[in-house]
Amino acid sequence: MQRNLARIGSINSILLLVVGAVGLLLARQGGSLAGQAGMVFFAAGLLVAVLSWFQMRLEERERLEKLELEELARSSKGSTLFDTGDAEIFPAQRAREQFERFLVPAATVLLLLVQAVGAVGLWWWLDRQFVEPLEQSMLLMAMFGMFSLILLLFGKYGAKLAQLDRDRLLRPGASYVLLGAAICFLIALGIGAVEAGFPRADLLLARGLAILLGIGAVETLIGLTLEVYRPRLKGRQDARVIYESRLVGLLGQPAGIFHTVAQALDYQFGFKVSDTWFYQFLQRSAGYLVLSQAALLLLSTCVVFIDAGEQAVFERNGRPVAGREVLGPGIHFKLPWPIDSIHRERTLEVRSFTVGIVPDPDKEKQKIIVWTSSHYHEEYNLLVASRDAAPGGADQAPPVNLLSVSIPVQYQIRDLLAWTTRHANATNLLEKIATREVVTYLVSVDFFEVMSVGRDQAAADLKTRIQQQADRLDLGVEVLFVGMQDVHPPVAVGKDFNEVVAAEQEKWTIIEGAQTYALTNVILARAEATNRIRRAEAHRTRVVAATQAQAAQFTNQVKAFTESPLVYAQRAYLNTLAQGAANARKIVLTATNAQQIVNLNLEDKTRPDLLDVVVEPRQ
Amino acid sequence: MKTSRINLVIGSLLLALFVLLLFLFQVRQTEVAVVTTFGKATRPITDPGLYLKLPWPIQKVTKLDKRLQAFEGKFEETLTGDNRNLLILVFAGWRIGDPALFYTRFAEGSLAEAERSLENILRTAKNAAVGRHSFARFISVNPDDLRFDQIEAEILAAVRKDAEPQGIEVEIARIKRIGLPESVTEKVFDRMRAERTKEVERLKAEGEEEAIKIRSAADLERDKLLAQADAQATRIRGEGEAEAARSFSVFQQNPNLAILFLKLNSLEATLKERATLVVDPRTPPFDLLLNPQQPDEVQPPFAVRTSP
Repeated sequence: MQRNLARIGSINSILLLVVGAVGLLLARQGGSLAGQAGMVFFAAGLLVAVLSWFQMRLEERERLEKLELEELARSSKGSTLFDTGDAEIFPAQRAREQFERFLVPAATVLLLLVQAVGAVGLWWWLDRQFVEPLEQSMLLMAMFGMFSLILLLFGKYGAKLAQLDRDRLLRPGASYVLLGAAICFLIALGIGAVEAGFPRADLLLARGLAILLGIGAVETLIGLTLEVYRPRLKGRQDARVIYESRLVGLLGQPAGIFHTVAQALDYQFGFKVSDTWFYQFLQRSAGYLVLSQAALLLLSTCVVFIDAGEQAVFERNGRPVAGREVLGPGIHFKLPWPIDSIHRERTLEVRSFTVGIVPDPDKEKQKIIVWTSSHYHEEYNLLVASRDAAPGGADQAPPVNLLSVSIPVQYQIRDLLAWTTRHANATNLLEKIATREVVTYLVSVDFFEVMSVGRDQAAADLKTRIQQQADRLDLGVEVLFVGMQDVHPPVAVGKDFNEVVAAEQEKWTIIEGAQTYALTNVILARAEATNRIRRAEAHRTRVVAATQAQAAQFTNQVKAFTESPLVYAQRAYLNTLAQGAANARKIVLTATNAQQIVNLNLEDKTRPDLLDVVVEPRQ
Repeated sequence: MKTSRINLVIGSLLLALFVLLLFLFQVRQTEVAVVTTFGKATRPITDPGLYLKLPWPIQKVTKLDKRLQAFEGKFEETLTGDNRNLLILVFAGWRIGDPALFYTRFAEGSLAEAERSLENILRTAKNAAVGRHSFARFISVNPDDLRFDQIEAEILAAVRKDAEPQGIEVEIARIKRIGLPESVTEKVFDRMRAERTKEVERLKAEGEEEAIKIRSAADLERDKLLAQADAQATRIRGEGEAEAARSFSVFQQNPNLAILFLKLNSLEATLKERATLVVDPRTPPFDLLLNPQQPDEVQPPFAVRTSP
């Protein structure tokens, strides 16, 4: 029986190796992430299975050695040949002990490394993977399903043998084989879910497997730590080896969970809950319940609810079904997946994209949009003809202007069959067509016209042209709206365009200044004219009044003069001189006999002085 | 025992299902398929439906997307017929024309490899077509000068010719974007700036022109007003003089005396401001300096004549 167990152990190792290698190859070719992640468990399982098989071999050798020694001892009783120490008599036992002391912990540390590095590495790797369609999905599903059945068959057999023989060394490998069966089944289910229209199922399963591997690593670490502090009794063999995982055992043999739960319930309630009819029924029927659930799940694929605003392409074995090519909102019945399948699309949804820019989520929050700063991640500089600068002749290249535009295009799916079955990426194609129409439209319109008065016309023309092109390619869309929301010169020259507007204002400022000058000048001139006339009038009044007064005065003066002509005249003269010359500088030349010529410097001086008088001798 | 039998039945059913899956495959209406037997393409399938095959690894099914694929080349600099540099981006709409041929030409019908091949074909066709046309065929204010449709038709014809032997059916080839190299773009910016500067200066000059016109008109108006006012003022002054002249008859009683007073008034007025008076000592009253005791005989400053 022991030899049989060792053979089963070796078969477990081979199974894990072959299924792991072929599974990895298939998963890589098919692009199944869960398939690739699951194979790390097979690597860990292989290590455990080989370790346990090797340990089984050593124990078998030790058992044979003891039998031989016992036989020899009986036949050579009294001989001193076997009086030597244990190490010399039991080399197989010593080898097994050395193996358990050194190699088993070392291999368990290696297992821990495989699990920990595998878990972290898988998580890191999955972060960098994209969900892509699977290749050869049916083949993958069939192969992993078959792997699951084969592994289940051998795993159950091995586990049963281990249970019957109470062999602690066969159990770890058998548990990993059963876990491998469960993982292969899950991988096949995940691939099925992807094909049924849940493309992230494979990735999610892969992440779940990475987490499970991490939990396994924690369990192994705890087992190793406890092993260090475990009291050791000479000659006693442990019931469980340190590289055996309880978690793997539970997952590989879910019946064990029932057993544990039953024990816990019995202990908690104080009577045999596990003997009740309900518990017995649950235990008996658990497998059927799961199968019923699976059948119900498959049956549920026969009923389809299409939501409001949705349509679905209906296919039977990949072929469109006459009269039911496209299903509208409501309830529909069909054959189970994968015979009949549907592909949903929200056809009433208004979809949109923007031509001419690469959006920037951060800059989209800006509340003020000006020409002098970019408000997108990238703005294309589109070529526009300039009518003002265009030279004559069709063969002469016209000067071009550059224009930044962002043109939102909104559309709706009109014909789902055309949209999904005739174009691999209809959205992308529509975007390319729209960009083409914008580019070819702008090259023939005037720069300033399209920025100002021609915007509405440009939007209408573009809508017509994009719709025509989409119809020509049978895209199955209706273009609802084409906007001209940003049409302006590139940011690099935006400031210069603003300066023109500023210059316009400056022009009006200059004109306003001149008008102010004109206004004030004319008003002031009018005032000055009035002033001059008034002054003339005042002069006239003054002259007339003064003359009249002088005349009146003169009449009296004539009388006074008649009384004493000489005195009056002298008096008048002297009074006038005294008053008039009061502030004048006076130079009186008294020496009448002097022989000098008197030169008087009558230039204006700040401080006139007597020294200014220069007397030169007379010639 | 009963449980084991049921388990066996379920296991067998599942196994049968998995085995069946190895023999059957579906081809969707969006797909074409190529069945290979030991690696050799033996059966192309272009119609959708359920098909049989021998299990892997004897036969293998490769499904390919038969829908129109949109492929975009590179935004590449090229030369037009009149030797002008232009950046141009072309996209093509293509589909698998011959699945078996396509499968053998590209590793297991790899779309990525097909697009790599198509890129070379498209670049060659694009550069050749662009080189045959002048710059004005790509950009002009007159739509009749443009030749986009013709250029695209030339590219499509050339691409179709080279792609067909590879199992690729090219349905459309369109120009997506045209642009200018960066250095040229900078020069266009400079020209646009110069145009704007010209416009700025024109506006400023127009402002100055208008301002000068307004100012000169205002000056003219002012001068007119002042000239009219001066004329009116002169007339008023004349009127004053005329009116004053009516009082002059009084002075005829003694014209010499009247003139004396006028002279005296004039003398007083002229001496008031910064005058320097150089006088002879015989001038009254300075004659007192020569003879303080007895002044000379007083001479009237003018011939005194009493009124008759």
